[in-house]
Amino acid sequence: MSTTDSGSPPKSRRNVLIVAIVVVVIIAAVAVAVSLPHKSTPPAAKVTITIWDTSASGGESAAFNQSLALFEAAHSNVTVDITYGVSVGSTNFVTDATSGTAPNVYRDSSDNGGSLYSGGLLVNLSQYLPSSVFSNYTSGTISDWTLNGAIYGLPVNTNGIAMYYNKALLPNGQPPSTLYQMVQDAVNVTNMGSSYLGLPYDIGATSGYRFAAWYPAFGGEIFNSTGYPMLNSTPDVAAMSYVWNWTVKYHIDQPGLSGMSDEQAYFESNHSAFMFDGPWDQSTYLKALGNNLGVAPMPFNNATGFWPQPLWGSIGYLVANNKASGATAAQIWASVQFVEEMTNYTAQLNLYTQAGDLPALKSVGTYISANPGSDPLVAGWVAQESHTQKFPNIPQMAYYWTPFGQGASNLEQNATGNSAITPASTMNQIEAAIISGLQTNGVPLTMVLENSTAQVFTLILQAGVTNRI
Amino acid sequence: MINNENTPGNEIQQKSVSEARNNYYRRIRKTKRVLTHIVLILVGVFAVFPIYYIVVNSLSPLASLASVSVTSMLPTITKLSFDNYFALFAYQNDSLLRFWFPNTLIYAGTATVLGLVLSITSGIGLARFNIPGKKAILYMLLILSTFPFVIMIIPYYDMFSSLHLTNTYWGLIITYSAGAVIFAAWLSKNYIDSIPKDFEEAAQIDGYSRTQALFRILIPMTKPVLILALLLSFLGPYTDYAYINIMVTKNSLWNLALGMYATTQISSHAINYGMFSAFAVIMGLPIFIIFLVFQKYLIAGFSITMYK
Amino acid sequence: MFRSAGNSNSIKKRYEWKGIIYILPVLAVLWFLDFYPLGIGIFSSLTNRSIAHLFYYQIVGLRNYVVIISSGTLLKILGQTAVWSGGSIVLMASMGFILALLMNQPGLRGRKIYRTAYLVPWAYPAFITILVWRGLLDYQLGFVNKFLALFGIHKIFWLGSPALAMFSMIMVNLWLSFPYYTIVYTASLQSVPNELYDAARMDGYGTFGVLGRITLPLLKRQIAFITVFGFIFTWNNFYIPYLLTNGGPGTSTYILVTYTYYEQQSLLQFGVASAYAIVSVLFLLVFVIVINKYTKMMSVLY
Repeated sequence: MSTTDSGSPPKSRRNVLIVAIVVVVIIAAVAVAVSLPHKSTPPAAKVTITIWDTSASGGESAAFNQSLALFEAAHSNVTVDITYGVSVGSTNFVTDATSGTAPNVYRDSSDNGGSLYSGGLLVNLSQYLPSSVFSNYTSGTISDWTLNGAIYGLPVNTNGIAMYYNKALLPNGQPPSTLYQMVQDAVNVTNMGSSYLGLPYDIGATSGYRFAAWYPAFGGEIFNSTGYPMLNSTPDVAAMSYVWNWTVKYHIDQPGLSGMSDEQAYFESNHSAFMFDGPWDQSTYLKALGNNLGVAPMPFNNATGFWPQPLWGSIGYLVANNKASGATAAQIWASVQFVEEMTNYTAQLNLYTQAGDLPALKSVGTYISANPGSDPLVAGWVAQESHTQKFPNIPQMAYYWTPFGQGASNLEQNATGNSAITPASTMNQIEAAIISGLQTNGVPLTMVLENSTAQVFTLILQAGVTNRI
Repeated sequence: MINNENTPGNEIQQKSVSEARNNYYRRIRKTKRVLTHIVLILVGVFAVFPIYYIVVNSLSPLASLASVSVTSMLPTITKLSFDNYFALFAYQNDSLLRFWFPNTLIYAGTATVLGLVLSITSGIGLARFNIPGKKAILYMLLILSTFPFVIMIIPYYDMFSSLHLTNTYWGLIITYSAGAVIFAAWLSKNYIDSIPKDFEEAAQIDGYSRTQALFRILIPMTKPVLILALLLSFLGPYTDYAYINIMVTKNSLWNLALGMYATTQISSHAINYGMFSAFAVIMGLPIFIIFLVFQKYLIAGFSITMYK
Repeated sequence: MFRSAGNSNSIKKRYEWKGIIYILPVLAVLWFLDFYPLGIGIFSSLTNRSIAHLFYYQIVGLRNYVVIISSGTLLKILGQTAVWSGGSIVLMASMGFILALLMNQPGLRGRKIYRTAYLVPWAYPAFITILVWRGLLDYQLGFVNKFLALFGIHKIFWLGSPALAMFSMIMVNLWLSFPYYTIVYTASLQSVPNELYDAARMDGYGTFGVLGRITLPLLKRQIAFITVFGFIFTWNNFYIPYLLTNGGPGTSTYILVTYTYYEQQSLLQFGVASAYAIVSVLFLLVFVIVINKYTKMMSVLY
């Protein structure tokens, strides 16, 4: 390289070298960093499995560690490599799976698991475990983990919402048994003073999850059995109109509550009678209300003869397949073993006693019903469990939340002004937005289930029609 | 509103008239001054209040956001409490001090240093050499600033996971330094443009090679822009949330922003607002102090790099 | 090509090849960490890569672009992005410029105190202060509504209603960004030689006369440059929309960046997400080129 420098050439070259060295060092550093994570493969007899743990609270983590210790003691040939503090529904799992580096076991919710299974990332556990294993779990939680006839995970708990109530604000401290009575109770509480509001309920951006409970109370659903959105159906519109009347007709609710924190502010300060929420907030309410706190199933709809059915989901363990995690057959077997033991009787009982998680195993449920002792509120949860709907785990479900939030907040926004926005137009708009979202993203509008009777029927019908023509 | 009077051309008037006029202008000037100060003070309150709010909250025994009130904003020495800080340090087995804080310093520190080395050398290259395609490179640097980072997420993830760099320090540091390079290279190029070549040329006459002159004479003179670039490029990795959230799953690799989001989001309804406030103060204060100490470089750096 | 000027240029350039070494590292970074990923992004916007087609995805041509346009989502999000960046930049730039003018008055007392105070929103990490603002603007519990109640003003639904949520986002952005614009404009005001001001005053120009005849014409390109790149930065600003409202209520405060993130992270639609991002890049490129044609602002670059 020739230069026009007036200085001495050797010096100049040396300094050019320095710059070059900087480049080389950086490249070398990258190369070293690249080569570091490669580990030698473990001996064949020993198996290492990687786990992503998503235990949320301190109690859940403690129960996880106890079950883990039991597993490690029982399987000395299996080394468990755990990553703590991962969140549920993490996209990392998908992106890692793309490059075949997903963990062997992930603790996730059943609906997220459904989307992972439909993406072809998970092992179908029914090919590894006898059906007698699955029959130990409640049918509701197993159905949460079933998609197209495959079982892609084992549940460790079950969760959903029920009705919390404040005994001090209700006649005789008793919860209402019908929706009609609930509204009457709420009207009475609202009349106690201007700072009271019987039933503050945010119909808004983030309420799609809790709102889903009201569709079945009018005979409706979110998606029909083929995965087509049903929000514009008569029952779903009736559900929205009913809840909307709390604001516009009975004035037991106000528009403009921003999310659940406002509802909670009313409830925790004894200024509202009811709160629809899950067991994860129970300790907060217990601290605020003490013995006045009660839990009951969401009340029966005496007008239609249906119960409200909250989405009843589940957290569980799932196993990544070879394509997603690069796992060997031995690793997958060890992972299945791990998953089974992390969701067994001891594990779920620990989880219940330490974190208050409702169990997914029938046997633990029986034990709790027999020994309600420590937690007087558990009876309410058990009662709610018999009126629930399956948390949809079809891919279409991901397209429900945002359109619902948009429609609901538009409705709430126009509570006083624009009368063109009605519950009916809102539901119409929500369904249209879901369909548009599905179409934009190339998700099939109706998903015919593999080997389902529906498909067979269609095939027969089509065959009949073509034959006739 | 620049402070000068609307002086008429002809000044020679009778004395009494001129006195009256002077009084008039004095009044105008005074009103102007008072108005200016009122505006500036109002803006100042607007600017400072949220920080004041969070500091006061962190020092008072708060249960939740609900217990913040207009009166609780008034400083009361008697209620001073450091409980929120103790709770924060103990949170999740001292995660803050064991992982989040050191990790953040490692990510941001290494990335900044690496990014600055790259950008100062390229700044010299662009300012002092007639490199072919120089204009194209300058445009390129600028065009890159129009790319939203979200488009990079999935490609980076593909690249880094095939290189086994996800869930490692290096994976993050490399991307962060790339983020720092673009703006810093552009800043230092502009700054070096404004330094006369005389110094290097004098050094070359004294027997230095050109490269030596650039490294020994020029680089020390770029201190103001180095500090400016350092401040600006440190801040990005220091507060990154969106990117690290995707690249890292291990709790032990979390940075402050992930830790903060977790502390405020876990059981968000029952959010411990006092602890959040303490976190906000601890995480923000170091940067804040550094900014105040080096504030003269902000203006100096900008005025030189922007003035053409 | 055969002109002698070209020859002399190439001779001149040959001497400077050494300079390439200086920019080699940065070129490598640009290639591997910017352009190559962008290429992947463009490619993936032409595929149906998503959770349903994770390992075996196909090239679908412009299908993703066609559907996001025909469904009207793109137009809606683009509109929201324009309101967000346009509204922000108008407020931020004018507030910054006015403050810079006020602070630049000769003989202003307490300038240092003001300047330090104005540095606060910039110096405090935005990630934190956005979360602080979210608390301040809460409907029932937020300090802002509690403070307004002192004056008998009814609670305002800052973050929960579609129109106000956008307004709140812009105001928070104003709070976060006005210090930067104040400082940058102060720097450019100070770059105007004082003699010019003195001369203008001697000629009898008043406050606005000086502003209109001296300051603005001299700083035209700088102001255009700062404003246009402020606009682009705001367009791509992620944290305010993400942390303050996360697109809510519904989709009414999504901007292109956060909507891309939503498609990518919540719906796991990588192909469609890339299409949104590419549209955003294209839009900004065209915007810069058009503006540059009229203002020649790029000349401040070299």
